[in-house]
Amino acid sequence: MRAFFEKRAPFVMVFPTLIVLLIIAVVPLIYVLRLSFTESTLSAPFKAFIGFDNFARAFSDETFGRSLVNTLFFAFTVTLLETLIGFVMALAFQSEKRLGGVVRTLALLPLFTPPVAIAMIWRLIYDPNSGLINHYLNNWGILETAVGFLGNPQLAMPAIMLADIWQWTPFTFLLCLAALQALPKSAYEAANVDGASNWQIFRRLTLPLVSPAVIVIFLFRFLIALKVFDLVFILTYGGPGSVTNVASFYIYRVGFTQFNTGYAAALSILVLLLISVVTTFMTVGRDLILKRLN
Amino acid sequence: MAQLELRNVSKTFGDEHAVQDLSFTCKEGEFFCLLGPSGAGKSTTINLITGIDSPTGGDILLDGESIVDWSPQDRNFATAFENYALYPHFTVFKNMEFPLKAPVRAAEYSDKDRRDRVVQVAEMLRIDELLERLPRELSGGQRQRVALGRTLVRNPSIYLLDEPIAHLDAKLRHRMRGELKKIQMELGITTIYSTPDQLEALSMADTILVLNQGKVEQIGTREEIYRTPKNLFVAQFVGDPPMNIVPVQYQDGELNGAISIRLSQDDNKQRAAAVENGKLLVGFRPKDISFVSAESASSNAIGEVKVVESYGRTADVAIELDAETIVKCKITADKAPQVGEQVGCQIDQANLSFFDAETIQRIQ
Repeated sequence: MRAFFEKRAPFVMVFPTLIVLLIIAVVPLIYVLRLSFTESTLSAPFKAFIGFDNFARAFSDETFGRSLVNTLFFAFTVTLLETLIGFVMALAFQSEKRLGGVVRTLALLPLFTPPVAIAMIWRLIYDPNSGLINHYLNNWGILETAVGFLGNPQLAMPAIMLADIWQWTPFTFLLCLAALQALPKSAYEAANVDGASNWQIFRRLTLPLVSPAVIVIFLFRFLIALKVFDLVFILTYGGPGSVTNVASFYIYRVGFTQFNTGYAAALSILVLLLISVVTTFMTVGRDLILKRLN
Repeated sequence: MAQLELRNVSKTFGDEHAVQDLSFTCKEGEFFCLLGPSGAGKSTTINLITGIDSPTGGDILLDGESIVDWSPQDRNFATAFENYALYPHFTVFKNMEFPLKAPVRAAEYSDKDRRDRVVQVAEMLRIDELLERLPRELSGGQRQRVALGRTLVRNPSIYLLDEPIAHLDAKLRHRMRGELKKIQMELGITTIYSTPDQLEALSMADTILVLNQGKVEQIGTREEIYRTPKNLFVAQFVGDPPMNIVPVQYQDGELNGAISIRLSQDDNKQRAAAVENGKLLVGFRPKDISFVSAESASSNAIGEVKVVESYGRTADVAIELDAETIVKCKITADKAPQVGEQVGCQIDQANLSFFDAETIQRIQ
């Protein structure tokens, strides 16, 4: 009897979590999967089973293709820059005791701020008439006329990226800092005694030892960046044209402004598949990088 | 080749004095041993010399020149760390090769030189089979040998070895004692060696410094440390079993207490008389006791045999003289008495030590 319970105790203990996961993850997934094979609107779901029609439509939907490219471009660029800047900052501040503490605390601020608030702040900063950037560009005499950053097809995407980098670099910075501080101190002492140069210590010790963690941070951040929505929603609403139209925003528009939930569900499934494929490739890439570094 | 000197070196961590007012000179080519229990400040001392830590007071001199402001890289000392401090992502080979790739030495060695040197040292330490393994795939003793190997591949001005063979099994430790001493004598490189094991210190060192709670208890040759311990701590730390200490009262050439000795040598009498109230601690090594029959007139004490620990050729015998006093003696195993037997103990007066019962310092 006792053995029976001991064997099942772990299951009993994780059961509540399993239930919650089931409700918030698995059930919606199945629901979306079902939706994607039907003609559905927000008010009338599951009107008719139409097989793969929604998926077929997606493959010929140029806006969707463009939004996928935008998403990957956005996510890869910001993640690369954020990881790089965060890592360099972490290197710079890891041995700073007092200043490091101040910077660490300040770095938490953007993480505490609600994304919508951040987006609003950046909208004000970019504003052509009263925005901070235009104000200084004018004052310093660099530009005569105001620039509409968010309305300019060349500048809109970089503008969103800059806001994203401001918002998320603290995240990578703090994680990189934690990774650096977890490195074995004794190995560094040994390297000093062994006469290694600072470059050798960085290249032969720090980089190989910390890179597994940094690559995980990169992957982690990349997955979050693929879901970017709030900045686009508030700053550009996908425009101008569809220059900043990213996948999650396009799906939102299809589902909740055109109310075509069946098609939106199919697009979601496709994005999910695409992300799975991309992350698989990146995991393979990680192993290759790690092998090269040692 | 180098002479190292520490002058009044202190190191505090917060309120804690890890090392206090430490002064000693380690001569060129000397095998110098820091001996002390754990927490005595041995590793701190090694780290101060290495340059990983800076002293809070005092000066460290190499060949007469102060090096406290030098970086560890500039000092050119090779250190084997107590916690191994191996590079976790390098194979054993790369770990041992790393010091030879440092900018200051890289020019001296070709790729082949480096490989030969590493293999040569690895063979001596019997880790040549393990060169392609990672540290995490090794046992504690193997890791310790890699750490030692990484030190020995170099040709530094000083070797600093922090308990380098503490985690090896007994047989290997015994062999390594001999190997290390041999290497040191052949290369003639000044070596500072820390250990909590008095046997290691006695068997290898030219000079021993006994360290306790961050302070020097005694500095001397192994003979001096063993024969004339400066205080009770050294007497009881060195030797296995340690020196027997018995409180006695001295009067008119006689020591009385749990043992009674009529002093026959003038030198002993003189020393014993040096303490005014006559309260002494007399010390004698376990090997200086021999057994006589309990009735014999020549016995200095009578007691009951409590424990006999036999080591094959020799045996340690614990004898209870009275409720507070147990002495240990070391004799050849075939002469060991039976447990429970009443025996007389005769103490060799040639090697008696006297300590002041109050100050616990040796009376010279």
